[in-house]
Amino acid sequence: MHAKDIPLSLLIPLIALAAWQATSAFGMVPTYLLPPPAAVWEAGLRYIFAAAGQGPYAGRFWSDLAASLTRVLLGFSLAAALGVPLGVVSGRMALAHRLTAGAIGGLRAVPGICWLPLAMIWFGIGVKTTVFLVAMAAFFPIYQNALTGARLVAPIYCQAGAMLGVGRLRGVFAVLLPMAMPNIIAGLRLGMGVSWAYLVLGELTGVPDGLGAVIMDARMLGQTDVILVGVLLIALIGRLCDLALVALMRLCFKSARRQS
Amino acid sequence: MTVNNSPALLEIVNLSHSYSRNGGAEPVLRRISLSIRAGELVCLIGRSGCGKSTLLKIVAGFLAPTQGQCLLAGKRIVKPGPDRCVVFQEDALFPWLTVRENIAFGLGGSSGTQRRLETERLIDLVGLEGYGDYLPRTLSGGMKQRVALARVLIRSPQILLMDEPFGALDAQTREEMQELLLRLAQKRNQTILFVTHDVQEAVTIADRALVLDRDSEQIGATVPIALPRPRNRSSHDFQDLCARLHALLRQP
Repeated sequence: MHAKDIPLSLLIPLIALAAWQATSAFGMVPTYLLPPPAAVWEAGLRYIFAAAGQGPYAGRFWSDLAASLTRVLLGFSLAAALGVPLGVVSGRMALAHRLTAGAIGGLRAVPGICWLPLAMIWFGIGVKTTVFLVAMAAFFPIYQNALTGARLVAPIYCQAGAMLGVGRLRGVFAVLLPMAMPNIIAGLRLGMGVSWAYLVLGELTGVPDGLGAVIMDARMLGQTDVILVGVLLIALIGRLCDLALVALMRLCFKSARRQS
Repeated sequence: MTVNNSPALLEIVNLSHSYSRNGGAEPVLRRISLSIRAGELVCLIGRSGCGKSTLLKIVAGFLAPTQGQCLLAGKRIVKPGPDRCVVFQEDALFPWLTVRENIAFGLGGSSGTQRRLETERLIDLVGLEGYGDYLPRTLSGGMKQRVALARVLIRSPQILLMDEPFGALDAQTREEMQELLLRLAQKRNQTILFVTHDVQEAVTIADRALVLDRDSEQIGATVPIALPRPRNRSSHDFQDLCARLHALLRQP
């Protein structure tokens, strides 16, 4: 995103904020259903900046963030480490595709939430369950896009590599992966988005910390303002993670920097 | 450019190829034999669908023939290699590499200074001074083909294979590229197998034209083009040769 796009991208959030403010100002909705923006803002400040002990949730943000971020990054890394290589190999080798397509297609048909009970039995309540759920969910978009990207590389580029003296293995890194890079990045970004969704699912199961846990906890105490703080923070952090992911890929790979 | 007494560099012996389609075999080349001497510029000319690109792919090693074989300097061709580089018709430059990086691609991991010098030499040779840091997508069609030419010449291939490389260019650019190719071929005594469907192009550049016939899937005629260089497109001899090749292509 370019700097000049920022004002335009803020337009819709600002309209939503104005509508929310109006709803509260005219008393159209009771505050226990939708607290006014100012109240949510204050709850947010308290959650993030107040010293611990100055009221419920005060100052918990940083430890919750650390917990959630760890789970997301672990799950996402696991999904990427499996999804990209498997996808690329399946996209280029008919045998590998035939071997994996049925199993992966079947697993994909299972909604991610179905894994929750099983994960709780296998891993108990805690980091492992959440990481498992995140990895399961993020795997499919990463795998599928890497597969499509690898498959779409026109034979002419591989032929060009071969005639210039690049062997098969080096060709994978010198030609195939750079050519497939735009699709691989698209898959990783989708996977990152899904990771945050399943993070919250994993944290709804009674873990003591994390942004999802805060939301669930606040629901039981009827603290709508804190729920909204959690939702908004996840939106913001999810977006920052997406930007960081793209920036990292562009930093590491010429093919990401120069093709988009 | 013709060196009449030099030995055959490329030999194609009794080569046939068919594609399998809907369970059946569809022949495109039938028992083709030909040889190209070192330093020769041979045009393979034929109407679209006659199998001329297929023949080039077989020589390049991208495709294994159904029957027969190709020999380069006596050695059987089984896979692609830098001794037989191709300039494709379509853009096949690596889009994430600059002009300079594309040209240096074939050098692999050779040493730094040597590599830089050689790359700069090739950039100058094809007339791309000042464009080394450009990405392919910012270049015109003609300039892309200059890069494509430079990245294969850097490997000093024994034979240069060209698959309608100027077919997508406008007439003016095509002529410039033909002149560039002829200059380079002469300078390096480069052997070239050049596929085209353009009769004028063949008569402009070739020492010899082979007409590939679509119906018999064989080489219908071999036409030596012994006009003095540089060739004058408006001369009678030039026009006569064009007319003759046209007639050969149109034959039933």
